[in-house]
Amino acid sequence: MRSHAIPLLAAAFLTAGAVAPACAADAAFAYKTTYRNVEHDPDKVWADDALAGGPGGATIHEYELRSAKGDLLVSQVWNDDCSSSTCPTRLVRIGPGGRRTVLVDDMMHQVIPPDDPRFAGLSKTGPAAAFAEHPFLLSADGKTLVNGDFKFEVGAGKP
Amino acid sequence: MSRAVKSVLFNAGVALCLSATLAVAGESAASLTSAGIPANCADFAAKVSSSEGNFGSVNQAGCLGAFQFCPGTFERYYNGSAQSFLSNPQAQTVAWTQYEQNSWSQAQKNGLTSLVGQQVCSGGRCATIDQSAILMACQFGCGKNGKLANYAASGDCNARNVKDGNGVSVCSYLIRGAGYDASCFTGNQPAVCQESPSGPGDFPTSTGIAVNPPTASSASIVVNPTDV
Repeated sequence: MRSHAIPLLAAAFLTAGAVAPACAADAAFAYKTTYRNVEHDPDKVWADDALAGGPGGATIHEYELRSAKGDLLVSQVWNDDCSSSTCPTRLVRIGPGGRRTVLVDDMMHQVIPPDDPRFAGLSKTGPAAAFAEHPFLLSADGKTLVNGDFKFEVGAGKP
Repeated sequence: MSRAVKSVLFNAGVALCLSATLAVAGESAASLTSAGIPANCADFAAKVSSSEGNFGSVNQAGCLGAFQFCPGTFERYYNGSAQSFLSNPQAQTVAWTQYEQNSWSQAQKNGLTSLVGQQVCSGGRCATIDQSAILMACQFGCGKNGKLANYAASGDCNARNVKDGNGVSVCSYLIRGAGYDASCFTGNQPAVCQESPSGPGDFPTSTGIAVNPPTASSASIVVNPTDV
């Protein structure tokens, strides 16, 4: 799922000036927590049937963004539905009383778990480190969730 | 440089790095066979690897090796460090074989193999969906809510829910993967025509007589290693 990125990349460079304002204040989600080997999602983003990830359950990685418009949570589940490079991921708005509204529900690039010792020998600089630290960004206008070279329109959402 | 331009370049840089494996052609069928992929499935493996990477490849999303196992997949299929995985082609082919077999099982469980035999057209190209096409498309996920499942439900290659975050349709991968022998992963003989052996030594070791050799007592000719 990579061969299409070059034209987009070229376009990004060639039209940098034109699109720059939309990217001027991309907000980065910060790592929140990881739940390993769970059969129930403590934050209630995923139903139990989505957590079939093997004998011990699934793993959930969460990233959060607090803004004046409300709190946003990105939850990625490592379960049987993952491909080799992507996993089911949701962007959720946390409303008053903890009410969840799903704004994006799609397959997104797998995150790199922070402090995972197995990846200790890999590069810690440049875009590699940037993606590892902030795999999810929200565009300045709040309409696009950016995940590496993936982009997802942020919808009105459904409870 | 303004912050805005930096932001664009950063995003573009991440895109480039996530696509860094484009710079490599992937592993050849011969090298994959040497690493343990059965000869009859090596062409399919090479086709997948061609859009992924080489044994030593790492992209900036932490995806590793000839089949670009990203962290979650890596964690599930390999028990060791990233560095040891990168330096062990055999471990990569073992992990990928298990991954493909699991993908096929999941495709069956979710009814996705019912697509086999159907024609799919996208981007001006058409193909008949077969086992290898299904497995290639499973790079978009074979889950019950995944892109391939969405296509199976709608038959629409242009629907938003059959496309990835770059707008690439799962149909393009169905077409890309069609026509290969993937029986090593599905356990079924391929519907595609295979080249017939034309001489001694042309029989793949995973199929036909080579996988079910006669016992020495029943064989009319016995060739010992020292005779070769």
